[in-house]
Parts: sequence; C-alpha cells; structure tokens
Amino acid sequence: MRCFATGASNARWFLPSLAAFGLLLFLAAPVQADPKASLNIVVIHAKKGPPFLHPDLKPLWATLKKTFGDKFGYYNKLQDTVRQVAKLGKTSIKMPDGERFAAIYKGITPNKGLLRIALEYGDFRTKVRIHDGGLFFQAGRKHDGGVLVVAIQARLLEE
Amino acid sequence: MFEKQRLKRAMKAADGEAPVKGADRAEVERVKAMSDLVKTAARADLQEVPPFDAMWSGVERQLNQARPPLAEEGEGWWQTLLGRNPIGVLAPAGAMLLAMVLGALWFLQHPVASNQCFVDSYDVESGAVLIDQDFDDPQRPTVIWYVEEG
Repeated sequence: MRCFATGASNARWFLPSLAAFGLLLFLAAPVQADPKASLNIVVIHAKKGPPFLHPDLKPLWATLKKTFGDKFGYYNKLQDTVRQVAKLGKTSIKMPDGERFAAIYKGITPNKGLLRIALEYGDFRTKVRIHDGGLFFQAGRKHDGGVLVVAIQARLLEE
Repeated sequence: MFEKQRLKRAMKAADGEAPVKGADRAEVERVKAMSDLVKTAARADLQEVPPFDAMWSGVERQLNQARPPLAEEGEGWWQTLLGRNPIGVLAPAGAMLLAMVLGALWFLQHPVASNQCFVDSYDVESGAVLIDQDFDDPQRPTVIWYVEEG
C-alpha cells in the first residue's frame, strides 16, 4: 500500500491553497464606495431690464453679482430641484425651452476628493470637477429676451 | 557808649560765654531773669502749636478716600493691569476670547466652499462654448457659456 500523504505532496498543495485563500481575502475586502452626493439645480431667467431678484435667490445674490456683474439686472427663479444621488445617479429637469437638463454625479477623484459632474443639455455635453459644496453656472440659452442661467451645486453627504 | 559795652558784657556773662568778674553782677542777674522769661514764654508758645501731624493725617485719609479706584502704586503688576475691579476687565475679555474660539470652531466646521471648477471636456454639435473663470478668485463660480448659432 502506497502512502499519498508524504511531506512533499503536502508542500505541493499548501502553497496553491495559500494563494487561493489570499485571493479570496482580496476579493472579499470591502470596496471603498464613493459617498452619496446632493445635487442642487436652480434655473434662473436673467436679462437686462428693471432690477429684480426672486426672493428665493437672495442667498445667491452676492454670487450672481460677483459672477455676472452688471451683465444682468433681472433674475427670476424658474425652477429649483435638489436630489440625493449615488455614484452615476442623475437628476434631470425639463427646461422652459423644452429641452432636458441633466446633471450626473460620477463619483469623486481619488486624490483630492473632487466631485465629478457631467452635464447634458440638448446636444451639449460637458464634464467638470468641483470641490465639495462648490457651485458653477451653465448659461447662454436664449429665453424671453434674456438667457437661461443654470446654477449647479454639488455637496457630498456624510454616510 | 560804655553803657552798651557794659550791657554786652553782662549778656555774655549771663550766657556763660564770659566770666562774671568783669561784669556788673546785678546787671548779669537781670539779663538772666529776662532770658529765662523769654525762654519760658517761647516754650509756652510752642506748647500751644496746633497738632499739625494729626491734622495732616486726617487730610491724607480724606485724600485716600477720594482717590479714584485705580491701583497705581506697587500692589502688583496684575492690579496695575486690571485695576481695583478685575471682574470688570476679565469678564468682557473672557467673553471676547470665548467668541473668538467659538468663531474659529464654527469656521473650521463650516469652511467656505471653494467654487473652483475644472472643466475636463465639453462637446457640442453646433454653437460655441466659452469657459469664463478666474483662478485667482476661487470664490467666483465658473460660467460655462453655451452660445447657439444664429
């Protein structure tokens, strides 16, 4: 009768088993998921004309003044939406011109933790990176004697 | 003339500065009696001098009471700094310090968000795209202008 459980055969099985166990641990390790984010989209109708500021835009007044200066005097809020999204989550609204405006959260950058945001508005596409809580504008579509200004703010949510 | 010399000699003898031999003994006794009389009167006058020390001590007490409550004389540097009412100085200073600490904590927990925006790409079938941003001012938001043709 031959003995199969020799020392050499044990060593031959031990190393692959160890490697397989390590691979299993590596695959089972929790993947660091990107945190959720809050996307806030405000659609503003801006034009020259008699000074006007929608009451809901008062918190934005200093920013609007700083950004657009004297280009516009009339700011009216048309829509406002806030949505919490996970990575690749999208929030979209129907604009007054009939097109759809969408903002997609694409996660955060590995080093600086900037939020990746993609915008889709008709055939216009853009991708940006902004700081947590940062704000930027997309503007230019003509509307009712003025232009449509879209304020986009993204904020990371604590888990 | 000799009368004056005789009187001087008697006065010196009365004061013990000259021997009594050369002077008129009666005159010497008279000068002595007069001198004693003057000394006695002067001593009596001195005893009737008002109590200046007591008076000045009373004045000083009143001056000390009327002095404003500021410590100016060596009672310690802290009293010079804080005055006689340390609470009146320490309470506002403490409140100001507390407000500064709370403000710093609030600022650390609610930092002003940077509006710096990095535009990685844009794509459009027609029209033009213009990026308006100022990297010298991170608080100024970026504007991505999309201007349609026509």
